[in-house]
Amino acid sequence: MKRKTRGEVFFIAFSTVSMILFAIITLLPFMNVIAKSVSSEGAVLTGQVNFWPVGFQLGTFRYVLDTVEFTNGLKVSVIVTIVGTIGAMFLTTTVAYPLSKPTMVGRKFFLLMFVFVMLFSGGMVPNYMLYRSLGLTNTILALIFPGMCSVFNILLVKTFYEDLPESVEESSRIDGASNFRTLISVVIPMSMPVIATVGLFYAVGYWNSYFAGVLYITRPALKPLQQYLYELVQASQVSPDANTITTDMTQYMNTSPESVRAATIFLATAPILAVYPFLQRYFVKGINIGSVKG
Amino acid sequence: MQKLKRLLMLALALSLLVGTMSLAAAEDLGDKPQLKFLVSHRTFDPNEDLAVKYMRELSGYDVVFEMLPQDNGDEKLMLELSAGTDFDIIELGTTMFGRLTDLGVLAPLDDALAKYGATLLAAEPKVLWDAAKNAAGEIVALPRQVGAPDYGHAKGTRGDGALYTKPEILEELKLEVPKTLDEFTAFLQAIKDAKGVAPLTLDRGTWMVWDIMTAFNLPHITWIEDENGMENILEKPAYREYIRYMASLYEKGLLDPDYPVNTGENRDQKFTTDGAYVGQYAFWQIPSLITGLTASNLSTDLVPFREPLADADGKYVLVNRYGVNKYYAVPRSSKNVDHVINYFDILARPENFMITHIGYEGVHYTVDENGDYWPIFPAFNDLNWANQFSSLQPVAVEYKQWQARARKTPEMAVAYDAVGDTLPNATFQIDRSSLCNSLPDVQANVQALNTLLYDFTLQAIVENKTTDKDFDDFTARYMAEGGQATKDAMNQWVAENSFDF
Amino acid sequence: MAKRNEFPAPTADVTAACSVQGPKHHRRDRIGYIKRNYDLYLLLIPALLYILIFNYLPMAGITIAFKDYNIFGGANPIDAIWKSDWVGLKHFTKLFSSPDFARVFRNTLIISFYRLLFVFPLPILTAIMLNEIINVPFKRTIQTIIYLPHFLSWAVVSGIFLTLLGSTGLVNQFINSLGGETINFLSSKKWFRSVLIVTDAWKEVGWGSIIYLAAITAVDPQLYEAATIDGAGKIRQLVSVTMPAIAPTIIMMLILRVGRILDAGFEQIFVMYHSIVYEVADIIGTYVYREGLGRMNFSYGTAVGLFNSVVALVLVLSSNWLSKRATDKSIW
Repeated sequence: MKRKTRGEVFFIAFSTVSMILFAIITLLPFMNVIAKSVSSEGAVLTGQVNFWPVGFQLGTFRYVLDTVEFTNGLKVSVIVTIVGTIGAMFLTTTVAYPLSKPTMVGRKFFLLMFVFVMLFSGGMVPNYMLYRSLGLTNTILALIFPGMCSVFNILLVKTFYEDLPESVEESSRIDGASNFRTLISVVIPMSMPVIATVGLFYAVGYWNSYFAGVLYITRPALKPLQQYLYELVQASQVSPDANTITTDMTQYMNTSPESVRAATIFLATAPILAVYPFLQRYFVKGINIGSVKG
Repeated sequence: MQKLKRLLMLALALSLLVGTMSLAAAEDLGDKPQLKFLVSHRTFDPNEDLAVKYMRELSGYDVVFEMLPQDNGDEKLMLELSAGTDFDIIELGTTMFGRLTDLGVLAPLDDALAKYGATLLAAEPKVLWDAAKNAAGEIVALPRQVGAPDYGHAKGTRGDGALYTKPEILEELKLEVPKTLDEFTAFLQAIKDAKGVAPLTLDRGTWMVWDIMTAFNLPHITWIEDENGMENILEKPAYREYIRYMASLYEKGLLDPDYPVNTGENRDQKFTTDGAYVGQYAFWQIPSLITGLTASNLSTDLVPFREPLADADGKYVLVNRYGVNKYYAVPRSSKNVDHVINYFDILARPENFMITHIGYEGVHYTVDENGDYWPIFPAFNDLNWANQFSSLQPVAVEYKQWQARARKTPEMAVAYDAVGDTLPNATFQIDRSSLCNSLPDVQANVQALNTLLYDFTLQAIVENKTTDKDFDDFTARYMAEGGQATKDAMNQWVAENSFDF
Repeated sequence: MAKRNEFPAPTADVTAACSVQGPKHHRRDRIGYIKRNYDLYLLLIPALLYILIFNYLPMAGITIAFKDYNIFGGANPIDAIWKSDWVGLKHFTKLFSSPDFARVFRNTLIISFYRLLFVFPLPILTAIMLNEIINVPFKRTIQTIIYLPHFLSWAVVSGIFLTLLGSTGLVNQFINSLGGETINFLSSKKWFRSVLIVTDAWKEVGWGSIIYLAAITAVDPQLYEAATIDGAGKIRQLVSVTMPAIAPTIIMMLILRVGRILDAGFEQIFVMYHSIVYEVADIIGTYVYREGLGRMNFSYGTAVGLFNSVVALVLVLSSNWLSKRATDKSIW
């Protein structure tokens, strides 16, 4: 291996240091959220909590995990994310293949058809009526179908397919494989980085999606977690009144509404964050193309 | 423990008895169907709520709750209703009630009320039932008043927003709680000089500081009714003076520099540390400050301004709201109008109302020798949302019981009683503008106009845009963008619904 | 370089493949191609069916932009669409003639342009720099951390920055300690747009870098090896190997980003702005929202949406065309 020049060393060092700084800057607010969720009420109220817990307590987490709205939302979101991502990956990886073929007859027409969808939408009323007439409102499917076909993700995969080395596909064709076979046995295995990326995008998209719940769901037990979280955060900006002010939190658990929100934010984010390390191995440099080429 | 158990058994037996009684009354209605109840947004699931469980037990109806979203809730409701809904009951705010009434979507309730709604009809005064009628004079909703309308008494009017200060600063600087505007300015200046921070903190949503507005003889409402009809606060010269005063506070550094962006939490943080010394709070917000004050080693005996700042005549005006806070209505598509009325009527009977509102005596609350209601903890916590879907009740009765809710903590009880004195120098402004919210011209504009006014006022205070021209220009714009239409509609309503001042 | 071979391989469909090199397809060739590659078209069907049902069918509702839609005007909301009266361009005229339109339109363009200029390149830079980190577990940790803010909603993020940037917040404490004057970042017309851009970058740059990172990962390591053997330094490798590899992704992102120029970030601005900074921060989305509060005008909302969509379509079409001309890369 060639020795690195001074310029290269500097470049690597500069990149590493900037990334560390960037990571610190992004981590701090998250630490703030976590610190708040496990700090005592008094410390949170008086703003003593920055990045480290003050007056450590775990009551908030117990409180949130005992909240039936939270556990219901969690259940709904997990199902929606798993089923939705699988369905979406099927739609995306299949359609991107023909669209990536520059020789395909009608390619431009179909591509434009998809791009158009990205820019125009029918709006609330017709969307609601469609789901209603299909009998989907107030079912979990109403949370799964929207977002199942992201044109942006299709374009990402399509761009990636286009850039795969042609030689690999050729050899498959010479073996007499159909387009379909080529996709399954050659193209998809070679596209794991983009598939992992898009899979992550879909999963996160489903996990964070909020508007489908607003439009299609009125049954409280079917409310996705993010809608619950969003409404909890929003509700903190609207003053309650004497009737609805909650006292059980403050009196008996040494925790404040702000801590409860922080804990909910953390608990609602942690599951989807846990997905990432599993996908990360597909981002490792060169593993795919090198191996296929052998 | 034994005693509690016995009490519980007794309560259960009682509720069963009541349940069978109401069952008997509704016999001619046939089997009780499931009722679908669509409510506006809450952060909890009503189906899981204890009070709702009591409502189901007491009424014998299986009520199932569904909920509108927080965002686009009104649009969603319109969609549900226009697409042919199977809901039996919908909970409506005043503007949506007006809109749906005009559209003719709500079922007339007069027949059902006559047959099954005797308790309901007796629960609210005529003026509120009038506010629940459509253009044809049919009652199309059950009007529900929530709150405390005790006339001539300051509780419930000042309770929701009085100025508080801290005892340490009064002692340290030998200050008295101010009574007039000049005293107030001097008071703030003295603290500022001594401590170097802006003494008055407000959250960004608060531009009406009730206790300061009184010094300008200005009630803290947007539409002000007097003998001459309704006028907008913008049209009152006192409004300009008030805003100029607030702008001067901001300019002199007596009002929090973060005021335009402050959340309630930022405000509380400053007030419970040495970041600020005066704030506007509702009595029920006081408990949430206690732990903060304790953590800062400050006294928890906050000092309320016993009286608001007085005007030149030594008087101050307090507001008494009089109106409907929400409606329960039945969509025309529902086949269960009679059952809905029966359901609410059963729950309106005093013994049932009591249970659905504050639970069982001895389990959830006690009554002391003065007849005051006190909650029992922790059982009362399970009824935190109990007033949310309760039926109609004469306000006097409801108010009496509501005290249990107002006294959820000792500090809350103290604060509640502290700002609740009978005030000798008070004059009263009656606010029934909420009854106008259902007028077509009002509902179409009220939200956008409120935002417009809030935006302008915040800007005026922070940037000191308070010349007469600034006010004139904005007033013209406000009136053009729906203000005039609103005013005309309200005045027509006022003329048709006279009120004895 | 991992670039697609311009000439398809000599396979069974060699005639068809060759024929498409010409400027025009012949009808017979096209039919022949479709017959031979019927399975390609089968692969299109699931997604195509999806967008036809869930996207194109509801688009009929756009017509209410040209009507006075009364949701109760028919047997159901759809019937009401047909029964509502045509009003031509009334809702568009209303938007363009509203007193503040010039201001909010200008703000929208300026803020969007700033985002394009300052925020758009950052994820690319981040991806390249991340790629230089040698220690793999360390690199992964950094990656995971910088994605975190993406998962916090704007309501939460704005709360955090409010505390940081307030008059007594950490940033001002720092400025004061250096002897500077307290700056009201969040209520100053001078600073507000910068706050928007910086917080946006903070929240989304890490997440945005994933796409580019995936593209970089796909580069054949042999290319780097070859470049090293040729004596290319880090910078040369970057220019001649990495950049070409991620160029298609960059171009695609850029085209799509340009298309969203009228979307200046409603959610963020909505939770952070207030009337003091309207002059610099009020955009079309927020303005229309305030004006429409409680008025429930479905037609007007649809008209504004349609205006945005048409502008986006024009921009996407033209930037795609431009890009094809200039760089030979495009979405279609």
